[in-house]
Amino acid sequence: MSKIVIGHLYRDELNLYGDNGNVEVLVSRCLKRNIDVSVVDIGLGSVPSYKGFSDVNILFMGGGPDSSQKLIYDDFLSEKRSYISDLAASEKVGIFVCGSYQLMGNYYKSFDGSVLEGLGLFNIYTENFGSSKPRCIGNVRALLNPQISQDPVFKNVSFLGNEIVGFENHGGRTFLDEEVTPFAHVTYGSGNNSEDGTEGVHQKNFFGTYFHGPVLAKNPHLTDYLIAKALNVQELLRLDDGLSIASFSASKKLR
Amino acid sequence: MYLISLFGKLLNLLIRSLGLGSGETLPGYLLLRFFPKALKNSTLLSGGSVIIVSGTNGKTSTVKAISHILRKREFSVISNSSGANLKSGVTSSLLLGKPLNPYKKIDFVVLEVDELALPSVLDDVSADTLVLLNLSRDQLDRYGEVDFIVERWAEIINLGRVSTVIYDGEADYFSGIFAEGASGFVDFNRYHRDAVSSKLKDRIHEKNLMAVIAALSEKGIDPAESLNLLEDFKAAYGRGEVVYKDGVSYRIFLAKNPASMNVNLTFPGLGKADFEKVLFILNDGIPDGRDVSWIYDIESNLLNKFCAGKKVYISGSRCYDMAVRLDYAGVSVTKQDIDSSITDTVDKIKSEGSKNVVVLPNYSAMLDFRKNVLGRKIL
Repeated sequence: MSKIVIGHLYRDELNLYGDNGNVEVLVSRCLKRNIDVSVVDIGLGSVPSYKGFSDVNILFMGGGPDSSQKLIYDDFLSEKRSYISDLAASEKVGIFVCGSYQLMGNYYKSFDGSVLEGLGLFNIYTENFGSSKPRCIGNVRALLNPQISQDPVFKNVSFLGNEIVGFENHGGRTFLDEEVTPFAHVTYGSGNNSEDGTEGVHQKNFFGTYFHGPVLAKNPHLTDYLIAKALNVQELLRLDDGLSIASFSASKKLR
Repeated sequence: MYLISLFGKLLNLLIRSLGLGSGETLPGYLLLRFFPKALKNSTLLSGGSVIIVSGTNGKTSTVKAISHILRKREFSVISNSSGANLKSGVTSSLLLGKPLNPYKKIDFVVLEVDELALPSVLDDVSADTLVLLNLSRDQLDRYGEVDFIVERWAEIINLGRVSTVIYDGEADYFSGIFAEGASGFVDFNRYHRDAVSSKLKDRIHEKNLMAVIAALSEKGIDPAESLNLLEDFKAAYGRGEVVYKDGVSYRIFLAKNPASMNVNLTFPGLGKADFEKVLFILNDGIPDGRDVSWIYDIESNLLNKFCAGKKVYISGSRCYDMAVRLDYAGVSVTKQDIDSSITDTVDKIKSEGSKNVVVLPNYSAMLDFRKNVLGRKIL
């Protein structure tokens, strides 16, 4: 039985740069293939033991302004911790964009020195150097890590090679522990920290990224990979993606 | 100051006659360059009572409507009607609007001011009336967050440089900052009944109309009279205005962020039968913000309903991003109707026997489109 259930964390609070478009794109690409798809909202105060949540095979969480991230912070760390960890351990797909990517790390250090603890599922930390370092902002491109690009499933579903495109906009710089695999390697733009060329993080089927656009709208090959992984299938029906391909080629030339 | 104003006028004339632009920013920019505190000089205001309008969407229309009413009441008014709303543009408008006769007084100075430039303008100019419209996410790569702007606004208002603040009491981001009833604060929603009953829906957004009525009510012009004087009001450029080229009527609605796009897609003055084609133009220039992710914050079902049964054209530097977004919203788009060149798109629209086209451009796209169709960007 092939069925996609998207768990959307904090839909109302965390949607800073069209991030919710990622869910719309996932749904649309499933529907075009007649794949049964549904979205469950996992909001503030909702209890993860609710039975609808256990079917989730793609978890999505976007980023928000500071005030919204503060709003969900306690709920995220206390109420959702074990649920998210369980999904990760059982190799479900998860994608975390920008602010939520940072919250999945060990901690976030502000420029005033204060430290905000994260969920700690990703062995990474983020530091904001204030005005001493410029904000990482602009069009960005990267090559997906070999674990993804060499995965036979990715090779089957990708019709756009192993590059991804997007827009990044973050003040914090993220650093990965040595044993942690980055999601991708930047070819244009800043990525995690504008120093080591890494972008995002990849752990089992969980991905953290700074890419907006939204990332799954700009990179339909990545979207399809996530769907295939969630369904545990080797390939997917090819869609008529003329517009997406044209958009992707145009984005590769952006400065 | 008189000589500087004269110099500014000559510079403006030069820029316009050479076709270099509207010349509405450079004179002020130069003045501020040499005299950073020039705006503090009250002779620049020519004795006028100052009304400032700020917010994310609707500034230009609101300023235009307020000025329209004041002028019809035979007050003399200076305003920055072209929408040059940063400090340099405001300074330019004052320079250019200053009467040649140095002894002549002006009754009102009506200015739209960019929401982030507002603190620095109010640093130098005391306003009689400050009209705060809506705030929403706009040009995120330049502006940061709504919270941030509200905080800056609260700070300046606490400085007491404004006599009356007119604001939207229904906006939750203002809650706790401005209190209706406190002296000097007016929630414009109290004029809801007047605005709703008016026949101006096709030319100005209801909330902005309430703000206009509230501002003028403070000046002793009652709501009924304001509405009366607005009868022959024409929509501001790019705010529902209609332009014609080669027998095609184009109705332009500036759609520069999710809020303005969603409002345009549900504009009460626009019936389904009023147009048969839609042209989206999306640019990623500096004044637009380089990040176009916001198009996914436009409500899909609104896009879908608006475009149902209409032929859709897409242009601008990010036309393919818009095409993909529309496709995900379920709007039918064909590749032949997508072209980054506005000139070629307008030619195609004409050659395909079009009559009524609604144009939804973002900021620089609107200027490019106007240039193409009218031969000039602004007025």
